[in-house]
Amino acid sequence: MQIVLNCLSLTSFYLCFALGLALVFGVMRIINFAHGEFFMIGAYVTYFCVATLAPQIGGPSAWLVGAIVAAAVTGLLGAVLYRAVVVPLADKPLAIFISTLALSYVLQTIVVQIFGPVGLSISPPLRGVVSVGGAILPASRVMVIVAAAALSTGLWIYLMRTEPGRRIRAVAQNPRGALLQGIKTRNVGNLTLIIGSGIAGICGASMGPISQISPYMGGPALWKAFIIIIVGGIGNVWGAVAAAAIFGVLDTLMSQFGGGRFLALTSAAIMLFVLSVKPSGLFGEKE
Amino acid sequence: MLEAQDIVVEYGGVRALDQLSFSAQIGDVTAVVGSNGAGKTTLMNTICGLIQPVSGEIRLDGERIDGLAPDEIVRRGISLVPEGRELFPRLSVLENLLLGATVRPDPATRRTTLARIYELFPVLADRQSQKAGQLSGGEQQMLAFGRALMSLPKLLLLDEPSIGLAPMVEEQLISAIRDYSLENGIGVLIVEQNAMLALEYAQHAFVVEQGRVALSGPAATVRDDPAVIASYLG
Amino acid sequence: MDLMTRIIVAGVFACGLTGYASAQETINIGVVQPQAGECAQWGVPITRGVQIWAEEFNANGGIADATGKKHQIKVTTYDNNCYTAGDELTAFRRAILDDKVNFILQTFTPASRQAVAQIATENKVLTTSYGAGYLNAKYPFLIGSVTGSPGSYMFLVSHLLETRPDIKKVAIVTADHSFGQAALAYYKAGITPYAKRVEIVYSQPYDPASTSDMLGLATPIFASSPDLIVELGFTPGQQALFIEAMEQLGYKGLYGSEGWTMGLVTERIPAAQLAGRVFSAYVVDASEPSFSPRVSKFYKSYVEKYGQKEWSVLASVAYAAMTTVEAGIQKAAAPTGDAVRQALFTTDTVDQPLFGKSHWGGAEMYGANNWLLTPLPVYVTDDKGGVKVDAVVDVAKWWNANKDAALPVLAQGGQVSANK
Ligand SMILES: Nc1ncnc2c1ncn2[C@@H]1O[C@H](COP(=O)(O)OP(=O)(O)OP(=O)(O)O)[C@@H](O)[C@H]1O
Ligand SMILES: [Mg+2]
Repeated sequence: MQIVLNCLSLTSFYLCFALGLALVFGVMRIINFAHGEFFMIGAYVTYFCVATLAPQIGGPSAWLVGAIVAAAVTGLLGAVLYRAVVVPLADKPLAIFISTLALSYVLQTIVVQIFGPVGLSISPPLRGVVSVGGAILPASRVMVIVAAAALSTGLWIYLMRTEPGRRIRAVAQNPRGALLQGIKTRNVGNLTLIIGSGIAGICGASMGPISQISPYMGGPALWKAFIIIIVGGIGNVWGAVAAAAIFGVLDTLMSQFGGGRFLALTSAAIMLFVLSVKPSGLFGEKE
Repeated sequence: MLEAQDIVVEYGGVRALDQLSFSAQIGDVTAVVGSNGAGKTTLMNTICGLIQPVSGEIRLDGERIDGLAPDEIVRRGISLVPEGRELFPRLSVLENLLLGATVRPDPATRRTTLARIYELFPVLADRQSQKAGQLSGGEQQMLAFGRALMSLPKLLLLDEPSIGLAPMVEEQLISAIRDYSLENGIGVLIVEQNAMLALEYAQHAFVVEQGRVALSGPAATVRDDPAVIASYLG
Repeated sequence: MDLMTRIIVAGVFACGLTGYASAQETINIGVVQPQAGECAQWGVPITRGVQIWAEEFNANGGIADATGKKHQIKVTTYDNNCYTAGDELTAFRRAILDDKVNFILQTFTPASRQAVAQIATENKVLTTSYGAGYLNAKYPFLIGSVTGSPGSYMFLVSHLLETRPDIKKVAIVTADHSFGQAALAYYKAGITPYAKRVEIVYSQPYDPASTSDMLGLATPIFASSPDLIVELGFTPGQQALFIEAMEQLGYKGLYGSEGWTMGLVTERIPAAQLAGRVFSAYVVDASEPSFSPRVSKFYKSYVEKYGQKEWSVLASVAYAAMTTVEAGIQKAAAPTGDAVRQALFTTDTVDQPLFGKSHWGGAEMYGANNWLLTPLPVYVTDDKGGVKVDAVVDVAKWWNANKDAALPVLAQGGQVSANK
């Protein structure tokens, strides 16, 4: 039972992180290397809010404020990234890639300057433990599961049931066709990057209290997210959800049964295998 | 009326349109004839704002539209059914149509336009929740027309709409479009490989050769020109 | 020789002499530690520990050698890019060839030490660390200043088993990298003397990347129902998350590691719940006032300078490592690497300024007695999140009594280089 809960909880970690990246990658076909740092900044913003506000308004409210501010800050960063990098460098994917890589280092350095290189920890807004059939689930993990579920259903509804969401999907599938319908593809790109980055921020806010936060936390998270979106199928947000679940279960079982040290290896191997057998990913559609 | 005057378009310094001028009446069908590489697609894309001319002017009902963003041009009433259709293959037929109405947000207008398009192409109504990519070539072309009409254009640009279609289907589609344009007072600017067909349905026509207008006039005149017959209708 | 030549020779000679004399005035100490990036969380407090040590002397006119002559200490830092062996060597080249340092404090990581063994020895730069690691008879200038890592892991676990006979099951939680593998071997070696009553119920190394899911990592450990968990490889924040996960699962036993950042732990778990259950042993923890007034004073100046939040036990570890060099300088006629080394090794013990009389050891493991076995204070947490001394382990005595049992286990774990 504990294993089932662990699978669920790990899946939600992966999902939370891969979602924004899958969206941005899927719609704009650009790799935002700073996505991991957006996540990290979301965590630091939350840390700052919790540290300064918790004494006055209490842990949970301070965390909530933190999550909202985190989404706003990272969303803004997404908008800046769009204006400053994606638009001027349109049609130069390599240049965009390098620029976002550079941005990731800049953000890392800024955070090191403000908060120092040493990892910090956000004191958990919810402390209790929920027990389910003899197994336990810490409340702070329940929070991540709820956040991941809310983000993915929210995103699903937004993309599938609203007009701006429909435009996002249109641009993802055929930017030129979208332009001809009178869709302002620039605005859609901007919106996508804002949403994707905002999700990274919220994810940082919810993951922050259950993991150590450090200026360097973005890198490993980004790597796993890449593996997930590649296995899930590039550009397919729902494929990313499925792949997050696959890795959530697989990684949990591996650490449970003594394979913990091979996790990085197996993930990379699975990715390479999928790339060679079905380059469009398990759930990807052919271009 | 759409008027183009002395437009010049270059791809990396190479001229594709060389001081091209023409005009097309709203309410008429105007055919554009020309061999491969003459610059027809370039002309269509330039009118839509996908490509900016180096010099020259394009006016719609007297107002300059060159230099405007594509979405503004759609809003002003020009809609293109592009070469290769450019549908959204993994969106449903209905979603494709609704995206065509991006610049016409009023729900009531959308409903009536949609009803008219379903009337024109009943098969689209039957398939409305199917993915666009799963339609047959002819159905996809109908969808491309329907999507373009959803923006309530004054002028519809068609770039080789019949490519890859059986001659029967081709003829049906073109006559459907013509009837629709007559009913609604829409102008059509059509580029066709099958010049004979286009000239049959058009009131006006012009011939593009190497980025210039070589000949223009009533469709019947163009159709009877010996050079045209030799090059395009033979 | 004509007059001109004489003047030139004299001039050159004079310049050389004054240059030599002024070099004698200042002692150049290099600290090779990560200064940026993720590993700076370790490198920065270590560097600060050395700097404060130097400042304490400099404020009083310098450190006096055996002749009574006082020397200012200049500390220069060199980045090793997160303990990368190649960068360690580059840093040493700069320190030794460009900046002419006399002493270097570096990591105990064997690969990094091996990379610099040659250059340090050729240039007679006394290179010390806060622990053993790649010590070798061929390289007498590589020493270990204090017991430190990885030996302390062995002494800590065996101390706990010795003093707490009710411990029957031990879980060893180590990362799957070279530090972690060394720790695994040393923990196992420390358990061996008690093999009759103690069982190792968990010893699967984990992938450091998998620590983002602490609950997943903790679940099988909890399922093995240990009485004692010894850990190595977590960052301070991860340690706190690990304890949190174990406590949430309902674990009631003890925890041991080289050090814990209790501030991070008590943010998650009430200090009272952990009182008497969390043990550490890593050279010395200056935040504990009773062990040594001098380190306690060091702790105060550190906190004054950098703030409580920036405190790391590693600062005291580096500080302690420097006090062995200090003992050598004070006994040497001149503060050169060579003279200080000779002064330290005149007898087989050193009167260590913090730990008292300590034996040189390590021969059975490294083939050279270049490791100073300073007595090891073991700390335990109290109900306020602070630490108190549980006991001070006489490391040299333990080693003599248990080396026969421990050596084969260490050899099996790849930690013995003496007979290679
Ligand atoms: N993107 C481009 N970059 C460079 N040159 C181009 C580009 N598009 C078209 N051209 C060139 O411009 C000229 C006109 O091309 P265009 O596509 O407009 O011709 P067309 O009349 O539509 O031909 P077809 O009947 O084959 O569709 C051609 O010489 C073509 O090679
Ligand atoms: Mg063409």
